[in-house]
Amino acid sequence: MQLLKSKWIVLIGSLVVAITAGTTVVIAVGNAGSEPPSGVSTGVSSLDRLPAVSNLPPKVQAWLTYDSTLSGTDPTQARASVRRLRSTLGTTQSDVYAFRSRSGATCYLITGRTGSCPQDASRGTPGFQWTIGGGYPGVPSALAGVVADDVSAIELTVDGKDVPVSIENNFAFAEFPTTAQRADVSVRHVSGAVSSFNVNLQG
Amino acid sequence: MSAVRSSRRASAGPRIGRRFLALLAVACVAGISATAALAWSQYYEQNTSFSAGDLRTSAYNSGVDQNKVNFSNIFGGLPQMGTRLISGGGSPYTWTWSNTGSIEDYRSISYGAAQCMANSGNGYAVYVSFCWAANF
Repeated sequence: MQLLKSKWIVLIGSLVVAITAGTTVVIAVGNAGSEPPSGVSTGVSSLDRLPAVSNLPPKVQAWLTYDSTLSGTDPTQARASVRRLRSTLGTTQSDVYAFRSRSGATCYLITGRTGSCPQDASRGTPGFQWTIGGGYPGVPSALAGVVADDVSAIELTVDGKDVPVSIENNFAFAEFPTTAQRADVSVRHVSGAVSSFNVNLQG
Repeated sequence: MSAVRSSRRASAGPRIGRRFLALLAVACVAGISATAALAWSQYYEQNTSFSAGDLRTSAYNSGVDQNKVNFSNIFGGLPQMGTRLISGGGSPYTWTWSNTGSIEDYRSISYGAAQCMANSGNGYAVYVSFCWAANF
């Protein structure tokens, strides 16, 4: 009788362990396997957290006027929502300004370099709305763009060599030589999922 | 007599001032016209689809400092578009690529043209709303 009871205990214990293990596997697969939402639609909280910018340089004002018109955003609302995400960035010592458009997209400008104003927040690679390249004499190429709140890291490999990518205030930036041929980028989400893409930099 | 001289001098002053103002106004108008003549922009492609490797080039002009591309992935995938500036046959300006549907390139060139291109690695065609360049 005692033996039968022990067998039952072992059987039930094994069943509990098996179910727990199975559930864990399912959760892990569910998190890592499911594709995160496209673009930065999980949120760009720096636009709500950072202070408003009081004065805009003339070229930044011109960019704001163009992008607010292009995106159908009320210019006054666009001006009120402009934030400086990064300062003195890279070789060109650029500042990064951004605002949220009427559709919820994040429009940004890296002064003297590049910018983007997607149609909405769901465009492009999950977790990262990027531009890459854009070098010219004396200025390296760059990977830059808006990073969603659900991203923990961005990894960049250029022609087989790892290049560090800094992320602050939902904006990523890295510089690399203008002679580069190929870039491989991995976007690591806090869920454990990874979104990857590559770019033929020479076209 | 001296009162008359004084009166003449006094009336000559405003006349010279009016001439100066008139000349200034003409100079301002001429200046504005010259600026308007120098300002240039061009949609060098609009509302068409690009297959992988398709390339368009704007007209050449001086002081090109804006090059913008809007596109969408209506044919599927996440195709990439790029922009750059060129001068003569080659270009020291590397391509700027993106798959978000919007690239704004603020590099400048003293004399040259802008280009937009669908990356040769694209697996899908891309719908290009516009490729636009300007120098103001």
